[in-house]
Order: sequence, then C-alpha cells, then structure tokens
Amino acid sequence: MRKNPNGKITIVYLLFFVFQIISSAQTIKPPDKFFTLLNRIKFGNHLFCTKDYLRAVEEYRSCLKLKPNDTLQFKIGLAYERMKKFGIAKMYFNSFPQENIFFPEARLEFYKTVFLMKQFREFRNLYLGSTGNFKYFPEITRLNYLTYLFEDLPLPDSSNFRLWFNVPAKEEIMKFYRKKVNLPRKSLTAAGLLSALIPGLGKIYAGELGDGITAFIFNGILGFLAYDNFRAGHKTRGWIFAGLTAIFYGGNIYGSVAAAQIYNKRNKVNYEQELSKFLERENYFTPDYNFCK
Amino acid sequence: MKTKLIFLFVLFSGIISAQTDWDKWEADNSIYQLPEIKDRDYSLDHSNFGTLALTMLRDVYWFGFSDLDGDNCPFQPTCSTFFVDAVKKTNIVQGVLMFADRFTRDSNFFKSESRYKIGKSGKLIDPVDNYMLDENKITILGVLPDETE
Repeated sequence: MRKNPNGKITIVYLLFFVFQIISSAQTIKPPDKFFTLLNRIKFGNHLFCTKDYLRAVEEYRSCLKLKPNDTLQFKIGLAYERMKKFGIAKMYFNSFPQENIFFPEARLEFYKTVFLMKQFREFRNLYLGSTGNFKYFPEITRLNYLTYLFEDLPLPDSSNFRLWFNVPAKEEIMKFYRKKVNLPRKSLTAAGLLSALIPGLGKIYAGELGDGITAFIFNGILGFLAYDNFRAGHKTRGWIFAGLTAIFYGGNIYGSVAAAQIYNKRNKVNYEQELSKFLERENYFTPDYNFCK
Repeated sequence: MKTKLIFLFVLFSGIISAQTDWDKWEADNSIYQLPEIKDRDYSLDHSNFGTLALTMLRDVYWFGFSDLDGDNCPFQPTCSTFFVDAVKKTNIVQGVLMFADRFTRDSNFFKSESRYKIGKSGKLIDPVDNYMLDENKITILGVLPDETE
C-alpha cells in the first residue's frame, strides 16, 4: 500500500481549521457585563415602560435580591396594579416598610387598589381610620366620596362633594353626581302589579314593548280558549287551557318583575362603566408617577 | 391588409378577454337542510326524582321533536335547557314561571338586539341567572365580571 505523502499535511490543515472554528466560536455564557445590576434595572425599566409588567416584575425582583431599592419595590406594586392583579397589589402595598421612601405613595396605592377592587365598604372603614396628616389625604378623600357613586347609598351633600375636586374635573364629577341622583329606575312592585292588572303592561313599563304585546296576545288567546271550551261544554280542554292561562299569567307577572330588575341593573352598569372610564382617564385623581419619561 | 389585421386583432382580443358562461353561472351546491344538532347531552340527572323526571321529559322532547324539527330556538340556552336549569337552580314553581316567561319572549318576533347579546353561534344569549330575581347575578351585555383576582 502506497503512503500518501500529503496525508500528514492534510491532517494538520484539518486540525488547524477545526481548532480555529472552536477557538473563535461564541461561547454560550455571555460576558458577565450583560448582567450588571444597572443593566438589569435598565432592562426592567424598558419592560415596565413597554407595559410588559410581568417580566418587569421578574427583572426587578432579581435586582432586589442583589441590592435593596425603594423605587423598584414601589414599581413592582404598580406593575401588579396595572396588570389588574389587584389582590396581589393590595397585599404588596399594604406590607410596604415605613422606612421606604415611597411609603406614602404605597399607602395611597393601597387605598386605590381597595377602591379598584370595588371593596367600597372596606375603603370607607379604612378612610375613617386615616388622619389628616397623611400626605395624600385629599386624594383618598376624593376616592372616599367617589365610592358613594358606585353604591346604593344616600349620597353625601353635593357642596361637600364638589369641594374636594379641582376645576377642570369638578363639573364633570357633578354631572355624574346628578346623574346618579336621577338614575332611571323602574319599580319592581309596579311592574308586577301592572302585569297583574293587564298582562304585558308591566313589561311595557319596563321598556320591553314587544314582549309586553306578545304577553298580552298570549294570555288573551289562552284565556279565550279556556272560556270558549268551558262554554261549549268541553270541560277537559277547558281545564287544560285554564291551567295554561294561569301558568302564562303568572309567568307574565314574574317576567315583568325580572324585566324591571334587568332594566335597573342595565342602567346602573352603564352608569358605572361610564364613570369608571372617566375615572380611569383622570387616573382616579391620584398622581401620575411618570416613571417612563 | 391593414384593415384585415385590425379586424382580426379586435376580434381575437374580444374573444380572449370574453367572460365564459360556465365560470359565472356554474350551479351552486347549496344545502338547504337545517344543520344537524350536535353536542346534545342526553344524560339523566339522578339527583332526585323531580330532576330525573324533568330530564327524561326533556330527552323525549329532544328526541321526538327538537332533533327532527332542527335547531330553531333563537336563544342560548335553548328553551328546553332553560327550563331544566331554571328548575334545578330554583324550584318547580319558580322554574315553571321562568319558563312561561321565556316562552313568551321566544314568541316575540321583534326581539330587541340591545337587550340580548349575540353569541358565537349567532344565538341570543339569555342566561337563567338573569331571571332569578337576584340583581347580583344579572349579566349585562358586554360587561365583563369584575377583575378582582
């Protein structure tokens, strides 16, 4: 067998190329400078400002393991709040250490999350326990007044109410106040009684004209069929139609009460939605921290 | 010669770009049969004698009438399901009254669209809970439940 004289050279070349590739290959482990505290905070801030709150929290938490930071702690709470994880945000803000520079803000955000969770009774109880020395007392007082607009409670006096709001929003809030006072409501009793008097009338009263007319025709036909069968001596058929008339007559009264209740609920929900949108636009009359300049 | 060429050009360009009859007027394979009702849960509720009788009655209605008649109820849940659910959630008297009211509303030809939300199936969403006379259980169109965890 002949020996290839260039064999050794080929192997050397091959080894050279292989080692060259290996030596110049990118290592999996990135340089340590990528994960400096400052870079991680910067990245976290970027995530926070692009509304990627979940990952921002993760990043901030990693930073806090390396070094305590008051701003990051506060921003974690804010991120939860903005993700609408109000339960976690509430717990987070409530457990804020007093020595933290953002303690008053965290306290305010705690009140705000209670408000956002629609735990209005709890909010008012907390408000009663607060003092005028608190930095954000006007803000929580405003929120306290606003709780009444969401609940079926007697509203506070309008002069007291408007006192706490500044000029641009004052008129708007007073519009909601007046709207709440004059929110259209239908009486459930009246709806039931009207339908008992004339089938379908309660439905018309509750704003369901088509259903009301249908109920009237339905009851009328069934009643007539019962009467006509009894008159003609067909007692069995007469009783069947009388039974059906009774069921549909009862159903019409029941349905009218339900329709009035749905009418009231719809108006209430629409009002609350409108109010919530307004408050969201106004940031619930709380400061905008503007961490993303 | 020139005239002939122009003539031929006009003639052929017309023929080439002409619309064929068969492309436009081809017969459509439409099926006018009502869609088959799927996902019927024929299982009986054995919790008590009343619900057992009621679910049996419902199954007989489905098998003997509804399945043959087609998917015609404009509401979701359908009136038969509404009846069974209403009785289960309340009692026989209230359930019957709720059903009578639902049946009346079903017979109304002019159903207000502002009142009912249209579901993915194209049916009007009308849940039992809205008629249980409990304001907290009423769901209003387009309003999501409170996001409180």
